Amino acid sequence: MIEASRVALASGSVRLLSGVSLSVDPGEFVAIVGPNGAGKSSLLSVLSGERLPTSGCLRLDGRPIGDWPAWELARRRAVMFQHSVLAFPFTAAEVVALGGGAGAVPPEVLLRVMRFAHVADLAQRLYTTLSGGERQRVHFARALVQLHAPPAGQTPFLLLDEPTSSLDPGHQHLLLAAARSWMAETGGAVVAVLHDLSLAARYGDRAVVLTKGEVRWQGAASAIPVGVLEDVYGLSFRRIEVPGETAPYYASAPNAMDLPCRNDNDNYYHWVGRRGRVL
Amino acid sequence: MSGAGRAPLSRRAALRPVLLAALAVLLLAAVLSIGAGAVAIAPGRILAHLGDLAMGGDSPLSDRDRAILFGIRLPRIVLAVLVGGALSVSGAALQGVFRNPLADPALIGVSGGAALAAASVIVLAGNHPRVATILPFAAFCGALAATALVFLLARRAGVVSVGAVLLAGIAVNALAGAGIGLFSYLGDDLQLRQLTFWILGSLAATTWHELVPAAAIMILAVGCLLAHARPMDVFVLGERDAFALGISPTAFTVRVGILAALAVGAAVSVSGLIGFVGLVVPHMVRMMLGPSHRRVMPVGMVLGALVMIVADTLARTIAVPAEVPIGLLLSLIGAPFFLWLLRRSHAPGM
Repeated sequence: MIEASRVALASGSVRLLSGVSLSVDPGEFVAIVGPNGAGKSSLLSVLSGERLPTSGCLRLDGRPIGDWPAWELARRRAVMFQHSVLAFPFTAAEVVALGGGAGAVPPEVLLRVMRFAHVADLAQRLYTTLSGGERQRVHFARALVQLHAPPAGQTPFLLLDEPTSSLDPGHQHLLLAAARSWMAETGGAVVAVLHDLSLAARYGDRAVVLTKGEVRWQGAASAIPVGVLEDVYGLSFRRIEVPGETAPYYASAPNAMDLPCRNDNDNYYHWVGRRGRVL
Repeated sequence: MSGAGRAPLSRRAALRPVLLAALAVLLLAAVLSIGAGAVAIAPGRILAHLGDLAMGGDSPLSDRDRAILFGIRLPRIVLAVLVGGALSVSGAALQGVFRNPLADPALIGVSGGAALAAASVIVLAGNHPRVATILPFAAFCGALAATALVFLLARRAGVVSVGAVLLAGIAVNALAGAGIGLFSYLGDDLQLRQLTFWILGSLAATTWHELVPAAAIMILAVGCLLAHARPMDVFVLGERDAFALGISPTAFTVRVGILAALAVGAAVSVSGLIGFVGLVVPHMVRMMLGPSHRRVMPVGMVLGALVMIVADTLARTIAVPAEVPIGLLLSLIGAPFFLWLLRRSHAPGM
């Protein structure tokens, strides 16, 4: 398991994270949510071992993350970043195969993972010609390939930084559902930074709400209190439960009082604000 | 779906047959090239000589021809093979660590740094009896310093932008050029002649004695670089992704930087400034066989050697009995190619 206790991270004089404590257990999907600049990506970079905490401690299986050599860490956890640049015209299949790192990946594993991640049809396309969403799916497959053979008896961790940001709704569900079935298959754990709270509620087991580098709330992903969200995002929120659905939907609308209002007559938000609700 | 955005079928060709075919062509080119020049020796006679050597019979070649072949042309061919291979493989390696398909050792100042260091040795210690041994190491130090400088100048927050590498290369080249200018001003007439010849790039005047130390370094460095091909593919994804995939970016960059500087330094110390081979050759392989370094590096090595042999043969035959500096010849071909690449480059940061 991954255990963070009172983790702080600073870059120069900028405080990115402070007093963050959380644990990720095997078989658990943890969704990290929060506004831009809340420290979600910073937290993920600490959890992945990429950046060492400036204070506090992060352990993987009880061993401080800094004591894990890069190659050994790579067999235990994969990271899918928000932005990956590639100036060389590799094919999608070749990029996925890079998940093997310095080792070769058997072709049947590649094929299975690419089907599993719904990118088999992209295999011979050049990465440089793929759309943002297609690239994201390719990198997801690459992360899964990285964890295709974790050391026996050890939990693999899949860390995803906004994995659905460029995906259409269909592929958002496909990717997160694939992450869940990967979990079920391997007994691994997923930590995903998500902006869509409804997706977090549907696919996450636990949610961690970050704001200003601190954990504001953590608990069951389908039970994030509306009050916490309104406070953290400065918006008004609705939690909608649909009979027969397993998870609630979260809908947001601008909090009219906080929006700038320059001209009373033609400002849309002003018009909305007078009525106290959107449309 | 066909055509647009798909990889050409040649990319699926197996590596081994391609490599063997390239090696066969290289061997053929070497045999043809060794006979060409101011004194032409027919390839048939050379092969007959080799056959007789193996059988222990009498050689069909005169003593003069033998002296030309084994004292002058063979070391030159060996040098062409080594320099071509070293420049291509280190070009591909630098393009990998800089994540920049346009990084050429000469273009980004690595060769310039080596040349500056070597020029200082020629002028300041040209009469030293061990100059053939000192020169490659001095050139290595210069190449390493230039690589480090370009990397530090072009890297911002773990990201090396394509444009910044070329700009840093311009600065380092200007610096090296000024230094070389200073040494040519300080040098005497003989040294000046040696310097000029050498700045233009040439494989002439190679003796076995001069070749051995540099050859050892080139073979060692190229061998080690080839062993880095697979992690190099991972590394082009970026430093963060490379770390996530188990490669420590700093250690990897330093290791490859040192190996590439060793190869380029040694090559520059014996052949002078030869540009564009490290750019053109890896690019040709990439177009045919895809960008994987496991293909670009070994095939590039053989192709680089081939390009050098062809260019050198041209250099010493088109203006017989005079000789065109090979660096000049390759720049005439390479510079337009670079411009063409620049035009069609969609790399980020350009």
